[in-house]
Amino acid sequence: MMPAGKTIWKTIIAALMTVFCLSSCEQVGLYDTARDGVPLVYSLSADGVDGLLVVSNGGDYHREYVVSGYGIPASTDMLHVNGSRRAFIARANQLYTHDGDRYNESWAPHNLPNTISSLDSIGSETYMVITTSGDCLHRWDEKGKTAVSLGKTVADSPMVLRYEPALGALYVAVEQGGNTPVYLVTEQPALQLVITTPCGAPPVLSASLWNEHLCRPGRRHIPEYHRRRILFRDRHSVLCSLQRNSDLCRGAERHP
Amino acid sequence: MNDFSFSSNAGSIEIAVFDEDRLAVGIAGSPFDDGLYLYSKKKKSLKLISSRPSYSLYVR
Repeated sequence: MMPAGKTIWKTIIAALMTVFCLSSCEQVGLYDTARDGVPLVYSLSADGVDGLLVVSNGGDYHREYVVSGYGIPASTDMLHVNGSRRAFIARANQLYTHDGDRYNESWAPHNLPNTISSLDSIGSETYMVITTSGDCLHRWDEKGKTAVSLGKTVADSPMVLRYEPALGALYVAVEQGGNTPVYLVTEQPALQLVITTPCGAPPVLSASLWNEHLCRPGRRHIPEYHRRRILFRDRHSVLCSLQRNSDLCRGAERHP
Repeated sequence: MNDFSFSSNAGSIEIAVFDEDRLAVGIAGSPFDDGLYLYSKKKKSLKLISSRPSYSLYVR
């Protein structure tokens, strides 16, 4: 017969393990899913009172986390998730992120000198550009919990920041009147203009830069598809697609 | 590539590549279509993931 004291201790330990698992295993599951190469979609949403971070694998994995202290999102707010699955929300000149590794921990805003126009990451390193020509590029310092200026300067107003893995380089596309120069901002000590867009005047600001190309023919974000297909769409439907990256800035083939 | 039309042109929409077959689609500010979807190219179908408005999305 087991002594009563041992039974009590076993019960307490089992209860503690259950509590620990409830609080941590869910997140471990999320990270493990991601490590297995299964993509997760993150959506910035709201329940009418609070902002929400919705995470889904498109199947049975679905989680909703309250973004504390953030409120209802605006359509201009941007969500970004880096290689360590840290989530960032950019709202005007404020960058929100969670204190710890988990999305249900407290979120806090960090002020930048001007409006954040774009974010991207190199692995767990997260970068952002603001709409100021001087000190346009900032990096999120995870230890210091702050955005650090990298002292980069470009002409006019930086709009799009993209990381090109094949080249290991960060690019910034700039809105400059009727032209759209692109800067390689990972070069030291200063920015170097490496490409000017063959697209001419940019019709809109809400577009994407992929690889070494820049094109802004659509009114919405332009994702890369199979790395060789680019979709253009408006608010209703897919308008057209381009089959090769080299065609990106040569005009769009309209689909029936 | 097939067109797929929503019921309204109001609000904002954002799409991102989810995997080799599917696109993630987020809509906010529309009268009927708000939500997070996955569009399958093979099945030519749109699956609703969440009916909450999607102001911005990211796939990782």
